[in-house]
Amino acid sequence: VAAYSYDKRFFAKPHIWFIALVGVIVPRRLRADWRQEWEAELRCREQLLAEWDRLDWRSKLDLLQRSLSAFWDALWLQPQRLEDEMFQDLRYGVRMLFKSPGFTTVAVLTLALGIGANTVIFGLINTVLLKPLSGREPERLIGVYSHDTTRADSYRLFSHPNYTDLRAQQVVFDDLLATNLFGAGVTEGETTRSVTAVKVSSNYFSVFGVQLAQGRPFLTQEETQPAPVAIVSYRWWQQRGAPPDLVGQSMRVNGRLLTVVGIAPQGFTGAISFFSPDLFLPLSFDQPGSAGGGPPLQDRNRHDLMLVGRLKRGLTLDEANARLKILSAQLAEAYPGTNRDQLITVAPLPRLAISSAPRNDRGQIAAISALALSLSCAVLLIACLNLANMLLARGAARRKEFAVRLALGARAGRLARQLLTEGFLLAALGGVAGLALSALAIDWLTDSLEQVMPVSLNLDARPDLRVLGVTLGFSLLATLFFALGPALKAVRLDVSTSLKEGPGGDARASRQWRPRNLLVIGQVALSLCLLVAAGLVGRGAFQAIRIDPGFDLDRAFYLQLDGGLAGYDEEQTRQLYNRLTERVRSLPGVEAASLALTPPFGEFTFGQRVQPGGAPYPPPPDAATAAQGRPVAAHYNVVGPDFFRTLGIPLRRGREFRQTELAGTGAPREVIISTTLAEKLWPGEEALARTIRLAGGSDADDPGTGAFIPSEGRLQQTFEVVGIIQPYRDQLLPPGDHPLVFVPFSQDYHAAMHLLVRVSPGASVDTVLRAAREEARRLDAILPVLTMKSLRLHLETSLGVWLLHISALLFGTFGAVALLMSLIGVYGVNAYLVAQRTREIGIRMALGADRRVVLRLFLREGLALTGVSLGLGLVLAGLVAQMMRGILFEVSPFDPLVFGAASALLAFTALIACWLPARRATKVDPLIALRHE
Amino acid sequence: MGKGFLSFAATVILQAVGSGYRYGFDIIDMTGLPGGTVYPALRRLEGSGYVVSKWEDQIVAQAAQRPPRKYYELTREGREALEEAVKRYRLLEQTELNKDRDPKPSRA
Repeated sequence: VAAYSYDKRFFAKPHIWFIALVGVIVPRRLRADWRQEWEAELRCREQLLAEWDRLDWRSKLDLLQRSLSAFWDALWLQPQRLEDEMFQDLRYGVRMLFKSPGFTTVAVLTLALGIGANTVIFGLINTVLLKPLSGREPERLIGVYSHDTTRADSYRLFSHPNYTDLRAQQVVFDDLLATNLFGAGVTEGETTRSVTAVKVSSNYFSVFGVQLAQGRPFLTQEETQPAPVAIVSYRWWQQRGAPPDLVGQSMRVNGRLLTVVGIAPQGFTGAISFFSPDLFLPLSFDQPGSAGGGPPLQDRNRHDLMLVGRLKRGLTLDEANARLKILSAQLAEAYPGTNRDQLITVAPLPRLAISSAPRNDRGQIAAISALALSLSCAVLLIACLNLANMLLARGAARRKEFAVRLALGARAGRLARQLLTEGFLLAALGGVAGLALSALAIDWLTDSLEQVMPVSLNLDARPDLRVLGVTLGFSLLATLFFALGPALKAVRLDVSTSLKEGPGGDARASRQWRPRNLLVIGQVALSLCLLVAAGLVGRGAFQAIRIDPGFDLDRAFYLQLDGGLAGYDEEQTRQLYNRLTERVRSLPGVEAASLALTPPFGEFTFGQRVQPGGAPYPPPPDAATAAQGRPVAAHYNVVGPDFFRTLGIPLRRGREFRQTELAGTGAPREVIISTTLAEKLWPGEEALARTIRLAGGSDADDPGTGAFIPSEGRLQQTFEVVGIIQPYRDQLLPPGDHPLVFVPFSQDYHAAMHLLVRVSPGASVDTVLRAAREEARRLDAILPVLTMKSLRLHLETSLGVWLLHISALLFGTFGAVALLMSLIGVYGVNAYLVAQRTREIGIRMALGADRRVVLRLFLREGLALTGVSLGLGLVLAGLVAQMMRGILFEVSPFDPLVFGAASALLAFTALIACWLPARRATKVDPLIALRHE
Repeated sequence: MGKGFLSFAATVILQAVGSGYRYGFDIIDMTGLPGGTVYPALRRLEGSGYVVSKWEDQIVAQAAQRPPRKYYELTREGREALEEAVKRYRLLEQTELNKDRDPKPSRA
């Protein structure tokens, strides 16, 4: 084999050099043979070339190129690897894991929790942030917006004529769709249910580039001419047992009979990634009874369509905006009444919201995701530190085995690979278990979210390839983290001393456990962070339940009504609501009853900007005070008479709305405001009998609220303040008493209202609630009663509380896992220490040290370690708390109770973990310990 | 390594070995196939038992002032498989392989 080493000019021959290089990846068993063959071939070739005097640079290049074939050859031999060392390593690893089932179980569970937590979080991030919209080339779908260039925050939706103008212009979009979200009631048998529906233009599905699962899309004429047709979602179809003949059947929507003409494709979501409407209706479908039916679709003043365009291929957003600027100018010239100063722009669609203004919520979601992911990574890191610790301890126990193998001729690299293989086996098992855990957790999470969300969700967070890939990545990362250190340590083993040493008799023991100390310090410090985070969030969730809203939650309930969904117009609905309220009031056990647009702690609050009556309108942009016309953002509600008595909110001054104010539109324009609002409008002055003006939605001031834009006519009018109430809390987030403004039902008609009922003391809420429901059925069987709940239950099942609870649960789980792991970690280190120093203890005790001294010796070391960890952990936890400031609910990020309790809990745990091994140390019998020699 | 269907390239290589082109580069030159195809194919054929390889005698190699070569040779099974495959690839039947050979290095 050495016969070809005669060549002295080895490095002058790049092809030979290349073979030597590539040979490394050939399985060792085949390497010598492989190399010899290739070298022989290349040298023979070289020699022949030399004989013909043609060894010029081109031939040399050719030779080098030919040697590249060796690379493919070597690659092809890779599978053979499995047959030798790697397979051996794996088999040996599996045997080792089976040999210590306790260790394996703990290790796999630890990793499963760490990897599972990361997979859950990443699965959610994937769904919310990364998964593309349905349809083809979703990156070309963009939102279209329109705003008045002379006013700030004046974004508005589009009118249908404007939409058709834009669609006709083929300079920016390939195609353009219009959609409008609205609530629909579907009557099946005796009951009417509320479903989420969208009105869509006829090209809706073709713009997304999807094919209907069955049936046909809407026709062009159905977009403008009222037609009794509907398309249902795939899920809707499935939920009804997937009847093959659904297309062609009729259904009753908002009191009208429609024919199902199509079924949307499976998993189709439309413009928001995980929100899926159940019902698609043509734009011409007009919701009866809403705000007086509204102007016809062709009215240029009716701005209620959201547009999504498919951008022309190759067009950038800037180019599109430049072209739209010209287009806007043309439109402004053609329709000065409605389009003057209106600038049409495009921007990427937000992930989670439908909005008239361009919003980029990716940054916000990404920030929350990053926080969640970093916390779950901390769990994984703790798990890895813990495991590294366990493996180090195991490595110490296996020193002899390694020494024997090294002495028998094993290479150090092989030993390290063996350990890494075992580590990866553990990580792979942990990854599989983690994936299973995360699937369970995500199922549970989506189920519970669907219970509280007001709209139907399409949260398909099942792991896709990306999630699987990331899980694999986490497993590999974990392997590197926990197995590499111990593996490197094993490699640097000194054979002769290791073979000679007796059990537990390592003279260098105190030096050996240093890296383990660092691991424990890191682990305990991280655990403290997680515990503090869990404490802060948990305290917030607790706070949310015990919240004092300023009124009595326990003796009240509501029925959610929507006459519009049954097809009633304004007149019919008003009469129905009045009669129902009267009849419920006369039920036994009812103290008071009233109507309200939104109940306290509802999913939506309406925002409204309020100005003093005499202030200039529109509000001057430079107004600094309310007196100069600067509007105050307030929560807006429409209520009936007796509303405040029903909730139990004291009136400070003035009176409630009167019964006559319910009668109709001719009633005087009156409002009731909270003292908070009065103080902001007229600081230190009497507010009663003054007037205010409603200046439109306060979307921009308060992103937590939905926008409510009054029709132009009402803006000119002023309302007289007839009552001032004590402020109360009408929503969980953001905390604090928000300014409140109330308008009587007569002034602002809504088909969807809540009937609030207060039960007299001693009466059962449940009984009265059932009686009220029965009364509504007797009065009108088709009137949709969408939900009925006690206010307490309403608060506890609200989205805000759900969010707080879920995050408390999430962080709590992380914290508990971290606590458990640090218990194991600290215990492990101390137990190891005691085992290592058995001989020393024996000598000490033989020389007269008593048990207390030995106990103190070990406790002191363990506690010193814990003290350092806690100090470091407190600093880290402070940083984490600072980062969490934005998501905390009414808890200071430096809540002393939480910090104190978390530190105490961790210190106590560490104490136990130190004490158990220390106690074992005192049980050492000096005679036996010394006999170890 | 599975037996059975021989690819066109494998058949060509087998034929070349059968015709006396017995080591890697010789086969490459003869068939015109790239080395990245020939060597893995030879390993596959060897795995299937259609060819066997043998190292050249050390003394012969030393006399020729080069490292020993690895020579491939058809087995009986290989010959049968070749006959069958050639029937499938009709075109190969007509190819007359020149036994009288004088290998020249190619210049790609």
